[in-house]
Amino acid sequence: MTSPTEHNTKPLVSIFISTYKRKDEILRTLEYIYQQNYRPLEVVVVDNASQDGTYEAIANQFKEVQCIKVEPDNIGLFKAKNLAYRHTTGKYLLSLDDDSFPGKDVISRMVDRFEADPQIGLITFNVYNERSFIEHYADEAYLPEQVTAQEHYFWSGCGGAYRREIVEKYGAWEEWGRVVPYELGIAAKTMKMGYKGMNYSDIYVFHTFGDYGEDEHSSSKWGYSTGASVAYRVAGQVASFSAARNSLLFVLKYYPLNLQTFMWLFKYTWYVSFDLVQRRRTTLFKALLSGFMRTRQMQQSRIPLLQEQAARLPISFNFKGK
Amino acid sequence: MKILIIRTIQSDLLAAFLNSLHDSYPQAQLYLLDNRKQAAFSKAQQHIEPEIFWTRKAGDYSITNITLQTLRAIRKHKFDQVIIPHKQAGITGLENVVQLLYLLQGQEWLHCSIDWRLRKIPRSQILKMLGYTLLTVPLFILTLPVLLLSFSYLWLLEPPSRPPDRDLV
Repeated sequence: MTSPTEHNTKPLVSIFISTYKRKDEILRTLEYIYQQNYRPLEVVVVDNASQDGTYEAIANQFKEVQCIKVEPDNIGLFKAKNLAYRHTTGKYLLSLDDDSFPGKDVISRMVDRFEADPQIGLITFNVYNERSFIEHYADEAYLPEQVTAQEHYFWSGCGGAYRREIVEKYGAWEEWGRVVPYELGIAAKTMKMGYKGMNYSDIYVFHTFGDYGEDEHSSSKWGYSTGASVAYRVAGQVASFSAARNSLLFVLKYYPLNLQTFMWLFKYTWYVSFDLVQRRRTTLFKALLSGFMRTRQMQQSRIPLLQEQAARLPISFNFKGK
Repeated sequence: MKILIIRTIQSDLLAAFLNSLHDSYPQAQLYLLDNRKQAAFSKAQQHIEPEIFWTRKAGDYSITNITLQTLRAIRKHKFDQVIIPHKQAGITGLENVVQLLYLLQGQEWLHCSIDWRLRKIPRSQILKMLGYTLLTVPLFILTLPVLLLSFSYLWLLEPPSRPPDRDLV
């Protein structure tokens, strides 16, 4: 644990989380956050209309947490994340999910890396599932013997940190909707600011992938958390629609207007048309039309990257929702 | 018995899949076609043969992403089964991998979801794909104006390009 004198010299890290009906998970996450050896920390949680006592439980057990209650209706993950962000003041912003938490002393290492290299704007966390946590967290076996570092921009909202100035200049998370590629907006803004994104093997979160109930695909059967695949079935076409539309919106907003981008749009249009014929479903086709209908909106908010930057953020045609 | 697995699932599910396969066929030699993104992880897996075949780059198992040299190396083996594991209900969406199967020497083509139940892939799959492609052409031509209109709109209104905001060099 850092001493009070050290607090004054160390930068404030703001952790922001949105939670919805996962009281136990968020309480556990907060517990692990406060086991970190790094201070000063600022934690902001948005209770996104849980109505199951989440807000009260946090307020009772973690008085230092700034908990914001949204009611009566859930405003969606991204609006909630942005609401939480607006209440933060730290130099570094760390995004976590309500069911993910950093490994031991990870925040301390994260800040060291940011401070050591002023060119780093984003640190993408490795994500390990809960099985890994059960087996390894206690004995720190997940700490690699040799730390590897690589430039990296793809990250998950359940674990990633970036400099405040990036979102202050270009805005916080896209609020288009759920799923892909919400994190890439931050990565694109990081590049636009001239920063780089980095991934270190010793910076990671544990993620439980929430609880979607027990069925044949559940973790109890396979010993793995397969929440993502269950989520596909639960969210179904909504996830596919969002993934397809948001991928298109991302390209319209961030990609440079050149032949490569045109070819991407060309292939996208082909892929979506093919999907309509092959699967006899209109989901992706509707997404295409919905995306192109927002061209004007994207034009007004365009943050065009250079081609070499955009090439580091390739958008695949995987529209299964993740 | 020789089995080739084309790793079309997330790497963290690979171990569970290999275990399941090893339980079903304890004597089988399991070969892997993978991408190098998680090479260390893949190499560390139990039950697989040390010779792993790698694609040219991550994320795709289509014909265009595999070198001739690798293809030759794979074709030296006559596999009893070639398996495509995945996380979805059917094989839809993995047509590019199915195309690749035509070039490999496999007695049986199988796919399986995360229930790990092996299901046969019909050899007529590629003809089906051709049919879909022909049907897609008119629809694509109808959609093309939307793309052209959208791109032209952005292009005409785009201000001259600027250098990055920060110069950190």
